[in-house]
Amino acid sequence: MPKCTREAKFLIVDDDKVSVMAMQRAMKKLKIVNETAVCTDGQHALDYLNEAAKKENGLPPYIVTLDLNMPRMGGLEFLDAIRSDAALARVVVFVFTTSDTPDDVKSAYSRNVAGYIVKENPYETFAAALDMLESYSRIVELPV
Amino acid sequence: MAQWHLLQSRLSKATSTIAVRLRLVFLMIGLVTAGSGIVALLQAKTILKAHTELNQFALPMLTLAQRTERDLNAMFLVLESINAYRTTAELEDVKTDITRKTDRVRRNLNSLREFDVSVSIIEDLDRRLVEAQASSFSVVKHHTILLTLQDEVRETLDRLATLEEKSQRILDEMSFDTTSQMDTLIRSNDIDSLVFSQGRDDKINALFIASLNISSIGHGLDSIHSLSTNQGISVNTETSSRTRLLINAKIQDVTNRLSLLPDVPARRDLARYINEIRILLSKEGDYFTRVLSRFQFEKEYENNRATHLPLMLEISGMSTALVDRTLALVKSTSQRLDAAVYQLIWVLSVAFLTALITIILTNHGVIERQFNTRIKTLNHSVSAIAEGNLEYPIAISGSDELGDMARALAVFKQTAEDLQHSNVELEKFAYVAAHDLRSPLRAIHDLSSWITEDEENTLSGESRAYITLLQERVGRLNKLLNDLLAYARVGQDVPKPENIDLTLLITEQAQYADPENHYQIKYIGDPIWIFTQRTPLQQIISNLLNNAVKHHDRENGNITVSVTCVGAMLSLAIKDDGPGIEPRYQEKIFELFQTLRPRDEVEGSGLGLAIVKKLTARQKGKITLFSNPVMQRGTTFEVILPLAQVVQKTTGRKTAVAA
Repeated sequence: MPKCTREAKFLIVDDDKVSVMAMQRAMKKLKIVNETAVCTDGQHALDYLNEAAKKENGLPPYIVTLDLNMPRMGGLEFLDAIRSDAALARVVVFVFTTSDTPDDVKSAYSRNVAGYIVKENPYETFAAALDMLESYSRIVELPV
Repeated sequence: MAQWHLLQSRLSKATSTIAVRLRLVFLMIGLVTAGSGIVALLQAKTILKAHTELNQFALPMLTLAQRTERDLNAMFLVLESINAYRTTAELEDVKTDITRKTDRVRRNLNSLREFDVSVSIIEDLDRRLVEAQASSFSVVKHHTILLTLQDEVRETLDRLATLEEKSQRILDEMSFDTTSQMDTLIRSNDIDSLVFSQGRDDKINALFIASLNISSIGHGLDSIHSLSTNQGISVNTETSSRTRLLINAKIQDVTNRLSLLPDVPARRDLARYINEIRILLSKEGDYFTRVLSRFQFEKEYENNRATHLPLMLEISGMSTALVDRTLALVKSTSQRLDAAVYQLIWVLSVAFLTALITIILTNHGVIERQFNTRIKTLNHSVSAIAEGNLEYPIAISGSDELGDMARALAVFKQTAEDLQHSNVELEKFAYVAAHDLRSPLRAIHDLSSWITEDEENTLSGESRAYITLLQERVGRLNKLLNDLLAYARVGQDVPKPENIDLTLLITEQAQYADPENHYQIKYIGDPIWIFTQRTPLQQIISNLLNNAVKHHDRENGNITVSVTCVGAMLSLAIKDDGPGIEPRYQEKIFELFQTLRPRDEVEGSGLGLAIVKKLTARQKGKITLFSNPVMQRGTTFEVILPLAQVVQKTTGRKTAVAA
């Protein structure tokens, strides 16, 4: 895959190491080489994004894959936090979670997420989703 | 629980206050009614008494008194008109009449005496009546004697008149004879007055004297007659003896003169008549004695009447007094009757009003305020809580059963809230547990699959088999967790009802249940559209079809889905020709985690039918199992569900081959 100068960075927010591994494995399989960071919970991710925004003087384009059930700060709380922060408001978020309860789906979409993907059949769904993400990260011209 | 027992004991211990209140009210009404009834009874008794008195005493007494008065008056009238009676026979009648009337009056008086009222008057009246009767009888007797005397006097006078007339006739004849003889002599005197003058003159003289005597006798008889008649008509005691003397003198004179008359046959007749007159007036019968005694009787009769009449008047007054007293009695009795009736009406009115007021007050104060309003409020609370609105306030008031019920309801509400809370907790727990269990499970699955991917060439066949078994178990656990989640979630989501093509839904589910078409799944029934919640219905059909396929003991078989719609009730019957279920297991299979075959033989969580049962119950439906493997293979699950609406029902039975 040719590297694009304006390619978005990936941020995987998940407290399950195997989940992160599965995602990285899938990315590798799909030959996605975008810069990928990993945070273990919402607070961590929030800190990371704020740091990145400070360092690069404005947040670079990020695609966040977000788990919902995490210690300290859960996915929904994280969504609330970034949507209420002007600097982080435009981050693209996909929810990747084991929870398929309609309540969770509804809550996530009401916080303006780009997609909600259940890790049901881990590999296929994951790969398909990442494939979509890859195309998404290229097509979308994310403003610097 | 402890709270509930406490409440129960309190409820049973407490006197049933509502019943006590109602009983009090009824007692009040009863007392008022009984009181007025007693008063009314007393009044009625008084009325009855007065009425009886009026009927049995006063009115008959009045009748008797009036009859007495009338009979007395009739008696008086008879006595008043006694002068009009001229014959003794008539007087006899009068006497009988008086006796009859007196008897009747006496009988009346005796009857009156029985009433024991105005006894003194009645006694007086009775005594006076005896006197009056005696007096009346004496009046009648005197009158009779008087009449007899008058008759006798009149008879004497008649005879006198006859004798006088006869005498006068003889005298007239004699006078005529004398006159004619004298006339003859005087005429012959003119013819030969010289020859017979002396003898003739003597003869004329004799004739003249006879003529004078005749005329004197005539006058004498005339005056005797008129004197006697006068004496007979009007009697004066003083003149009576003088008249008697005068008549005797006249009779003497007439007799003397009679002897001076020439002796002719007529003179003898005359003498006989005159003698008869003499006997009539002076000796035989004693005319004058009779006239005198008649006079005496007349006086006596008048005296008698004079004493008799006041007696009559007195009696009349007494009887009037009796009538008046009886009338007064009648009047007082009827006044009492009137008063009693008036009182009765008044008492009944008061009783009616009191009862009415009591009922109105009871209705307002007890039934409306104490029960109705409170029951309504309580009912609203109960309905609201039954509908699941646990926020609805409960008004607790009063220490009676309704208050207790409200308090019990509050306890129920608290229990329901606790239950709801613990349910929520439980579901949350099941959900979190299932979710949190899923993540490591997925990790195990991922890691094991990575091993097979990465070490495909180095792994021994045995190890690969182990990993496959590991992944199978992970899959089973995953399925179990999914079902557990589904079971926990039943009733949590309330999806909106939608139009569903039931035939299509069943066909789809049949394909999912038996993707390899081992079994003939048929749809029997009219193709219909129904309006209901999709997810629960879909899950029920899916689970039952999966069950039928999964537990079939043969490679091939027949499964039929029959659909009938009666009103707004949908009946789904899913019938297979599998091994069937023994009756002793038929209840057990609906329990959680219950399967009849090992997991290794038939993959299953043991939750499918439990979920179906829970869903059916949530939909207020019913599931029934029909199977008797001893008699016949196969099992039929019948699910009856109420629908929001049957949209369309095409007629004509169709059989669709679903899978």
